[in-house]
Amino acid sequence: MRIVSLAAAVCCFALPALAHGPGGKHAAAPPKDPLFVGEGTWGQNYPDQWALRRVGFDDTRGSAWSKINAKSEHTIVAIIDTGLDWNHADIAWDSLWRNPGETPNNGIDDDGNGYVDDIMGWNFVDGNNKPWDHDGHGTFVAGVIGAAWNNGAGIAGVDPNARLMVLKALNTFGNTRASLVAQAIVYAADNGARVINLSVGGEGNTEVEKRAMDYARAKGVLVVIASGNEGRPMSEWSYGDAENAVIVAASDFNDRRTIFSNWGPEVDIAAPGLDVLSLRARYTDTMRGIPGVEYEGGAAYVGDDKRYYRASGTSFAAPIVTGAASLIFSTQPKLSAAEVRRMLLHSAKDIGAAGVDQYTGYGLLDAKAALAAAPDFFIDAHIDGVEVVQGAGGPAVRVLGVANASDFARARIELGAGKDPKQWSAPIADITSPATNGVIAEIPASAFAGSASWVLRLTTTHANGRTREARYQLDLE
Amino acid sequence: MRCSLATALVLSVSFLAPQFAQAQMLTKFEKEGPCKTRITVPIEIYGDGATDDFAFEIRKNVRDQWAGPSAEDAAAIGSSLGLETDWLADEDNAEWYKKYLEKNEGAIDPEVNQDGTQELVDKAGQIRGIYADYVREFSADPACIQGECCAVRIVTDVKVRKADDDPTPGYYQIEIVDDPNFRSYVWAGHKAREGVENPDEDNPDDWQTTPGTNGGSNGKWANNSSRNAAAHEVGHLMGLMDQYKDIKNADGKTIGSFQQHGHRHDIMAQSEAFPYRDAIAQLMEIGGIECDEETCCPGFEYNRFGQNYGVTVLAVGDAIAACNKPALRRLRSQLVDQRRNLMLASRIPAHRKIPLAVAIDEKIARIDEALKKVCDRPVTGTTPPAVTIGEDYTPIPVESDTDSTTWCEYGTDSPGGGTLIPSGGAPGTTPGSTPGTTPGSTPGTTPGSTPGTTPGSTPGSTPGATPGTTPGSTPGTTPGGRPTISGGVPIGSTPKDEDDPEETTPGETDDPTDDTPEIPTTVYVKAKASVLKGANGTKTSEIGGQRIKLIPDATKNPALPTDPGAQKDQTGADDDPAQCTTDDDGECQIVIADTRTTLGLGLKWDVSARYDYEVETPQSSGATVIGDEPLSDADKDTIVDELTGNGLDEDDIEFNNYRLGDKWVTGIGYGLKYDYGDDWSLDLGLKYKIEPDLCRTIQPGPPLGSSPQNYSAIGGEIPGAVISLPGHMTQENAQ
Repeated sequence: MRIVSLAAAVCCFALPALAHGPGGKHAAAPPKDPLFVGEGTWGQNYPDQWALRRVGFDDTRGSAWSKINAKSEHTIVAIIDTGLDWNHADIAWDSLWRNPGETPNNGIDDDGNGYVDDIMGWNFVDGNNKPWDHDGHGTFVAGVIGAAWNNGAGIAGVDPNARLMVLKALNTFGNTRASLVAQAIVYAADNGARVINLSVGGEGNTEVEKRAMDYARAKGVLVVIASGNEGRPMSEWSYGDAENAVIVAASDFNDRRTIFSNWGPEVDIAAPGLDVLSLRARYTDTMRGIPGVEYEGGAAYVGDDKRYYRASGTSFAAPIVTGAASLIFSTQPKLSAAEVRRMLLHSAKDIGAAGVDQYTGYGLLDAKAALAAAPDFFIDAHIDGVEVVQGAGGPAVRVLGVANASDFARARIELGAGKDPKQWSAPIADITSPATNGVIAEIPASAFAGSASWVLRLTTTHANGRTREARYQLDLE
Repeated sequence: MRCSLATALVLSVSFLAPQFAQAQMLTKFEKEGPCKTRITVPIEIYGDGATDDFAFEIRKNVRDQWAGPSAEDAAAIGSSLGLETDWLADEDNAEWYKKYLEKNEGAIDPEVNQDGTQELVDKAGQIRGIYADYVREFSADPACIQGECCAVRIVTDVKVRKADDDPTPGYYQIEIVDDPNFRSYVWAGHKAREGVENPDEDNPDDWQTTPGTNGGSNGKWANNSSRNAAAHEVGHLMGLMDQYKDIKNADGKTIGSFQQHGHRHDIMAQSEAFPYRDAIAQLMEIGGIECDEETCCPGFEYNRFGQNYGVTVLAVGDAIAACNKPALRRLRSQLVDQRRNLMLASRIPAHRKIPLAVAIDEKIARIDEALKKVCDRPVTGTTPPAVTIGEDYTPIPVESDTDSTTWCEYGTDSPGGGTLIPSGGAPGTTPGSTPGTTPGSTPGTTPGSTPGTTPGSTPGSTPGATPGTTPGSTPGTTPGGRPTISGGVPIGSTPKDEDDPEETTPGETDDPTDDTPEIPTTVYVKAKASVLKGANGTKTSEIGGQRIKLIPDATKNPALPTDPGAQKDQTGADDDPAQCTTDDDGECQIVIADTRTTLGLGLKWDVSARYDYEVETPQSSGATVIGDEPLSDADKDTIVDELTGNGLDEDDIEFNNYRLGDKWVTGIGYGLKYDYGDDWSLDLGLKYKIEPDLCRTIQPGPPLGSSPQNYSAIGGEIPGAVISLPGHMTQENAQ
């Protein structure tokens, strides 16, 4: 029997497999794309792709990309958006997901998934297999995640080795309805996506989307969601209740939450979302004509050929996190979605208010730390609320939340008077067992004498000495 | 000095003579952060009615009233009045009442004033007015209100003093009488507000109260908070003057009162009202609190409600690009108004006025330039001759997409469509005279009709029947139901030069050196109709805010990477989109100078004509049903009956099924007519719940450096709560 070498048998794509990403012999070499190494292209005084650099994807030897090894696999990343201009110069065709069960152009649903000739994804808006982008938003998102490297032009994506599953669920103007998003989520989960990027939102939650999210989660898919750009609480916004998803806020040049970024306890992590640079789909100008947005047509184009675009929004913060998740999956494909989520969150750099806060969640994405994180490591400190109870010794304030760690050492609750206390005191003894049932501790009412305003500080300490904080403002009337 | 008692009012401030104005203001004004202010009013109550319960009532009354009306308050009011849920919609009262009558069959015409209906309408209108004018500017935090973008929290520290105890220093001393009808008052001096050089005796805004301890009582209140007396009197304790005046008879007896102009719903003017924004601004001044507006307020955008210098976000880019002159003129007018108001604003310092004015001036200049140099540029070429559709022009497939970004009203099954129509008329020719645009027709669905000629027919739907149709494509039948719009291009001149080619095929590039006039580079778009009801139930313009984009050939049916011989087509990679957004009249213009070839329009035609592009805006909405099996035919019939019973055509209702894990989802699409929005919920006795198919949109934020939208709900970085703790002692209490 003749043995055919596997290496020879798996060839498929016409383009060379290499040099478009951080794998192979180029493992640790940062990209050289002109807009990645460039600065001031549109007159600004910061690097063109500052957003990637800020989270560790830079051109130093210690870049987050240095964590990628030669054995990294291709992660299938589903982008549920307005589609893709797959003819863009910075989109390598071998970075597009190809449905292995489908024979192109035979008019048959070969894999029986309900979609005929779905080679690279699906156009849920028009009901066909050509998810072309007439808006530009989807192409922008795709560029952040997977723009080609070292092709002599343009930008660098976070994970150019990712395989982009293009699911067009939003129309020419970036609008859709929940049912189409839900169908796209289900498609992604059924067809092998490990990560879904959902830079989409709207008011209210729907059962159909919730079930789709649950379905995807059960299939091990990590859903990364933009928190939205209305400057309002996530509780009023869609997807705030998505379990085990990663909800991404947008940070600015100073690592603060951008003014437009939606906020709330649902926010998990932040990534740069101001003046992000990526691809422009032809015949598009995605910010043009959006009600309430002052924008002069063409102002966001970058480059003489207008093939690049700069924009702000949580829409563009989310794909940075998606790209990082894709890289983690590529190096450790056996990880679960929950583990990757944990690695992203618990390695984040704390910004804003100490600890987990409502503006930036666990903090700013730290891609290098995330790629190096232990999958089972976590430290949780959350105060979800308080309630007044009648304790054994009189009235008390019951603190609700979680204090836990992968190797729990202790937790401490402290009180500080005023809005921005400088001094703290511990009204009760340290907590020596993880609080995982929703109740952390009870503080005697007498501890609150002397001020009408207090800040509760919860500090959970891991056995390795690392800590995480959570704070809670308490006003007494 | 003290006001005489009157039963008509329970609110008053009684002034000490000015020489007592040195009384100490005990109210504490604290800036807690760059955008947070706390005003604490220390009150010690004593007397027959001074109880712990009433102390609580005072705290609660002040908190509730000074936080402004909450959405829940408003909803409760609406409910109590028997009004529908969207009674707060931003409509004028006449419109609202008309709607109310439609919804309440048999209601009495208010003009007849029978049966108390007028009172109901007045009441609703009054409260709607309060809500519409004020509640939206208040913080989401129920304990806070907004003052110049700073969150202002007003709290009372109320304690009860026993009869034998001495007054607690630092607390206003208020006697509570055990008489709910007693007319409450506080003693206070008054002085001109800082910065007011020539105060007008009759203008309360020129003055402030100076309450404070003077060794005795600071006021006497009824033990009744039902009419918000405590909230009003606390206003005086913070320094605010009354905004009402008593009406006295010839004997000097108070027989009523009236509110100062502009203070109809002011808590300082009447009992059932809320704090006014100006009052909050006054409190900030009295307390010497300055809010760093640049830090606290997002960019230039101040709250647009109730402020006299807000710089409204104006999307001028599209209007300039499309030379949408009505929109440009309207924007210019708004900007001029803004600039005038800005310069008149008294509370904004000069150093902040200047950059705002410069920014506005720049916008005005850009609009002026567009109006003069671009939009009014003379059209070259000959005067358009009369043409006959179908004889002088032949259809060309020009696809378009459209939807309303304002209200997310669109659908995949009821696409918009229109007709690109050459005409010899001047811009602004009356729409409706153009063929193929009869309302109710569905473009692109009726095979065999003549494109763009027969009223009510479907334009551009005869596959392959006409010259110039793109090979391989079927106009009007794009897979998946994309809105497909056909148009006309001239195939012959009228009159025609003998040297000119017989026919110009769309998509060809003519010899640029010939004398053939250029194709007009602007398509005039007229939206015909749109939905009336948006995602939030608010009625809006029928045809405004509609975005229309023409779809270039290169992207209509692009080759997939897996197609044989597929290459990366770079056609139009640097071209602008051909799109515009309609103004309130449903009109806009698309500049196609850069894209006409890729749109299949060629470079030159032998007739210079104007091209109207009528768009039938989409009207569809949807719902979903999740169940263990697809919706049964019987259930579908029930839904169809419900929808048709509300005026929808059966043909406009569609169902589709798909799997979601182990469940089935049935999607319901229905042509949306008026008043049947996506907030409906049917209770038809079905096994499964019908859920609105909510709108979703992409999430681009504002461009860097732009004036952002008004992000009103800036909340706390850390979570928090306000609790009532039995026996709690504050620092002041503990002294």
